[in-house]
Amino acid sequence: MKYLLSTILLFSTALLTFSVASHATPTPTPTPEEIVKLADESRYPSGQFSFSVRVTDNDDGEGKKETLYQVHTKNSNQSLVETKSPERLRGRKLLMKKQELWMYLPTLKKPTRVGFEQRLTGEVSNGDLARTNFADDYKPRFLADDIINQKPCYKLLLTATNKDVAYRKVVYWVEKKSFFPIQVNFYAISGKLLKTGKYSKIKLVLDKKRVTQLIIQDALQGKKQSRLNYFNFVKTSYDDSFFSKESLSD
Amino acid sequence: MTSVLNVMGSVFCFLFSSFCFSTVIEYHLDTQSRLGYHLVSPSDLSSHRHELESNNIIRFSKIWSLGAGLRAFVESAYASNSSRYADSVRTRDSQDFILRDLYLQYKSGPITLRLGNQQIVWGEAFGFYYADLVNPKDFRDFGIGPLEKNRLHTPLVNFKWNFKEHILQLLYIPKPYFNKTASIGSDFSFPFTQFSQGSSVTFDDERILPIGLNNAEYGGRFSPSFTGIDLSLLYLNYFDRAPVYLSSTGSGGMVVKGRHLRMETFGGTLSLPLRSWVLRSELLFNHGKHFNSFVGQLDSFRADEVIAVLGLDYIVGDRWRMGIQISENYRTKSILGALTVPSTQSVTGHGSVTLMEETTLDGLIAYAPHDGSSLVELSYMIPLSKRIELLLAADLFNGSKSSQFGLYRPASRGYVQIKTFLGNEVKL
Repeated sequence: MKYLLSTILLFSTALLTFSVASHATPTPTPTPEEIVKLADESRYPSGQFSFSVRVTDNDDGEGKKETLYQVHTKNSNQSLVETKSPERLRGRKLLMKKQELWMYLPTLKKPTRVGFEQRLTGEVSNGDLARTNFADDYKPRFLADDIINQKPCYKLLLTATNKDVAYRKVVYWVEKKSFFPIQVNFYAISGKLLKTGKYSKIKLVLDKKRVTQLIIQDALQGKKQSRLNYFNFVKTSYDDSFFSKESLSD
Repeated sequence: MTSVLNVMGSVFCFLFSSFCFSTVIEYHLDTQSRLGYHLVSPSDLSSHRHELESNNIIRFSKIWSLGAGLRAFVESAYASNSSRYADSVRTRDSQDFILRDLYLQYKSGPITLRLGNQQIVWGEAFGFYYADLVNPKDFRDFGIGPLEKNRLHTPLVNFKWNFKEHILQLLYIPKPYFNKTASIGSDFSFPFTQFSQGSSVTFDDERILPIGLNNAEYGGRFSPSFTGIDLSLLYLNYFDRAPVYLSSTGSGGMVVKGRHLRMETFGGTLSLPLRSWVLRSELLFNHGKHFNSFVGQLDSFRADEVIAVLGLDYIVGDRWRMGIQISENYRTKSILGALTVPSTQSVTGHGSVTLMEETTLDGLIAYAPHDGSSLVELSYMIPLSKRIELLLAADLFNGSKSSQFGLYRPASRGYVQIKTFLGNEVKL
């Protein structure tokens, strides 16, 4: 009996010690940079891939307009966005190389320089499709813990590290548990809120669960919104010449 | 003979097998109808045109593709408005059938070889074709409208090598083709009657030269890669796309012959993005170009010419785009009777704004300081559906009768145009 009691006491002490020790070294909180990178991976794969985007614009609840794009991207610093429909816009291309963005119009047959902040369709800017991650263009800073849709989130402030981006400042909510992006607010240089975005529709995309829908709303006119549905992701391989201005007319 | 058959067999097998298993066809079919009236008295019919255009690409594989396209139109204004347009205009310009792309392309990694009828686009300027030397242009409508549509496709060999982001392009054109100029008596014709002193004018325009080594044209472009700067150096040895006119007077009146003479162009183009601004520039040296003169008869003389273009584009917010461009043509020789002054300038401004529901308002103003004349082009595009666009447009020429743009003041016009897009639906 004495032996049994001392065994229980010893086991309890060991358990208590382990418990205290485990509380003393909590799971380290990821840095803001790590959070943004993990959230980027929950939006797009890395490396070289192509995907399709269907953008549905809804203006004041009246008349829906649908535009279909195919996006080719290589290492997040080169991308080519091709307009596939509607037919009257088919053949337009948007080429991004690092910090440069060019628009190719079949009626001109030569590319012209455009800005990332310029409107592509509805509430969607050129940069929303041409750029596939935030980590390369923004310096993140932790703002607060927050709860969105009953999900604990990191609330981050992203400040642009260069001027060739669609938005100078972004407030970004990323779910703590999964690192899925939940919500995003886009600001102009003046600090004015331009648009808000909500991510949803988690699906298995190239061996990883990712968000496949983004709804962007005008900050002033909430009924003005564009829904971006991402699909048809394919891993592929591109020669650098694919992303040259010269190839746009091929 | 055997080797030829082997090659033909290989090509056939390649085409046939590819066609069966992996061919992708993209076709575009557009129709366009335009109704226009002159804006300067008499305000009569200037255009009633129906047009069909088809542009297609057949991709046999990732490497091989075939481009094929055509454009055809009928223009009934010349027949309907016989009080204004001469019979010769009706006969020559009431319909046309234009072959567009017809090329075979091989593209593998950094190498692209394109053989056949195609367009080559050089230059950074807008509104005018300065460094855009290679293809002849259709000037029957003064070159107004989409530059791509006015550029005439020509058969040539086009080799491009993209190495470490530098581009080398070499061109060989076995048979030269020339600009399509407006017929005498049409809105945009050369004013020959100023020189014929009232007598009739017979016009003989040289349209093509026969194929042959002596008539071959060649050139190339090199674009070195610098971060943020687009620089191209170019050279072309070719026959002037625009004619010089030589006249003689016979019993039947004045006979004018349009001739195209060999010349060379050396040049460079530059595009430099500066945040929301883009600086564009072209500098060209035309060596041995022929210019028109008139001393009793239309004649030509040879001189060199320097063309300098400097432009600045500004992107404003998410919907506005505007720009300004200045250019100067300077001829090295000044002779008595030359039809143009040795130095001419132009200042061009353009703006574009996307308004509600994707409607777009475009405007371009070209001003010639050397004679005070100007051209204003305005257009308002309204998309009516996924496949239909409505365009309201006006082209206004201003200035004295002898000025660069004022010469065409009676041709000022307003028009309405409907365009439909009937290509295949893309499914992804």
